[in-house]
Amino acid sequence: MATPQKVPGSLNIPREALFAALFVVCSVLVFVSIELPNRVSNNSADLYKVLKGIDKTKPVILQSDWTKSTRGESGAQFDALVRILIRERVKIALMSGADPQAPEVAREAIRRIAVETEKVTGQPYKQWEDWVFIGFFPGIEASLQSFSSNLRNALSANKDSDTAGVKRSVMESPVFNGINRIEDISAYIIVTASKTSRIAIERLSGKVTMLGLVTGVMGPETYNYYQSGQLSGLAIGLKGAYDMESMMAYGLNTPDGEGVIKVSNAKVTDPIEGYTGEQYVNLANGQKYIVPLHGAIILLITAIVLGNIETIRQRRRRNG
Amino acid sequence: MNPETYSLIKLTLGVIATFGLYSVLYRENKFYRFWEHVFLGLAGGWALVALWKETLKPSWYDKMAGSIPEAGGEGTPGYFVWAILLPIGMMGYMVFNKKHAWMSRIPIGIILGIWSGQQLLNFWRTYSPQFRSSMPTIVPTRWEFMQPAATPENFTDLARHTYISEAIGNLIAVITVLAVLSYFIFSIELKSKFMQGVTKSGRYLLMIGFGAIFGSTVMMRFTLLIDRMYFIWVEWMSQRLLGN
Repeated sequence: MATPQKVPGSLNIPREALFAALFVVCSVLVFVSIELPNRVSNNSADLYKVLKGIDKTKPVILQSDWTKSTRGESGAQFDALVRILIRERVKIALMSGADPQAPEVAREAIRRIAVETEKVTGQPYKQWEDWVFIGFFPGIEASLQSFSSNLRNALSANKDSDTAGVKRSVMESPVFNGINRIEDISAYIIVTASKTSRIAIERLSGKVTMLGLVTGVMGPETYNYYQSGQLSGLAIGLKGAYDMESMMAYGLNTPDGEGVIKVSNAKVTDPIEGYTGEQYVNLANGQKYIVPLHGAIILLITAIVLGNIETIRQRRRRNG
Repeated sequence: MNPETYSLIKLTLGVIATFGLYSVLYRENKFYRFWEHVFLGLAGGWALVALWKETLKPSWYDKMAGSIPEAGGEGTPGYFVWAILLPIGMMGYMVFNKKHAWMSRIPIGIILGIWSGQQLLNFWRTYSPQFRSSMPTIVPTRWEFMQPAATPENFTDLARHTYISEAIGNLIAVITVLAVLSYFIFSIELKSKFMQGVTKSGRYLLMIGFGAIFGSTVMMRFTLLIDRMYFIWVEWMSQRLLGN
């Protein structure tokens, strides 16, 4: 990359200095643990409402298409989502369709949160009985088409280890008790950093309740699907993760002991309880990262303002 | 090796790799190149193993070869008809051979045919709800400016009505859709001043949209950096090295 020519008398802030400032801001602020006030987005509130009201007798299919590269956003969203599902004792059929690293990342997160929740509730959340890995599908278009046609046929050959460690068809797992068609599951949830949410909507929309948790990059184009009702709820980026964590910590439209409603939303107006037990982990990486994100944005705005001031100054100098 | 030590070594390598990959922001260097190649090698190796273990073996090989009974489990019979997929799949690689390149068109044709057939229904399923949501009510059905606060009694009633503020919002959405669509009329020359103004406003509205998308993208990139900084300073240094 060509280095811009230095203009005498101008600010001449080197690119490296801006990067260094960004690193310093982000590094220092990760140690600042304060709760910023939060107005929950409509799409996040809808997501939380659907998750809290989900039919616990039926499983959800959870398509996890993120890897460590987007841990900042997708990881925080996934953790919040799985915490809700495990606390609500909803059974999970886990799958991936975008990246070969995604299944292991998701399995590791579910196991970690299952242990964390068991410490509070005393109830284990076991692989095979409560959640099952149904496969990695690189040709996700064709796989979802076959899910849409006949879920039982599509998955009957896929295997996971049962509690004794024996490989068995995932359809024999208690997770899929009484489930034959995609319409029988309670929701199809997709956590993604790519366009796989669109592929799922193309094939499954209208057949099952669909929920999305996407990165900030995918947010604007996925929001259309929420507006049109194809997604019943949507979390976008770090804000989406922080929204979910806030609602888990304080409930939605729910007054605390002093009658103060800490988290509210204008669209979803009915009160929805949070998880107020002190031992529960509610505020996690979403809350930890939102403060440095604000610092980084303030730095960016400052740089833009300085850059514009300098441009105007130079233009004036040129024009005499 | 002690699992604790192994875990610390693993994390430390992660920290060194993070510094290595970010060092390109200063300038291109060998330290960055080294870690880039390590990353690509790891991702490629992982992908190969994962594709076989998670996909090809359970979805194709096991169905073809069947399985012998494991303790407590049942064996499954093999169906050798699945073997037909192998030569069809291998034909795709004939693209590298000039003489037999025509063969690669067979699997590509199969895939394109299936995909095209699916797209008819998929297009309608994807966009028809969006067509409907692009045409919201622009005439208020209640003459109060703002929607009143919801109560359990009026909750369903609120959803049925369009308030003035909502109608204004809907009108802006409809104008935006029409203006942006008009920008893409390239087949005929738009001579009317009004239509030229509409297409120009469509261009500005598109730019506002792109700006919003760019802002969201920047926030995501920041978050990825913040996560890496959290990994280095909190998870590795503070929690593992200093034991906080």
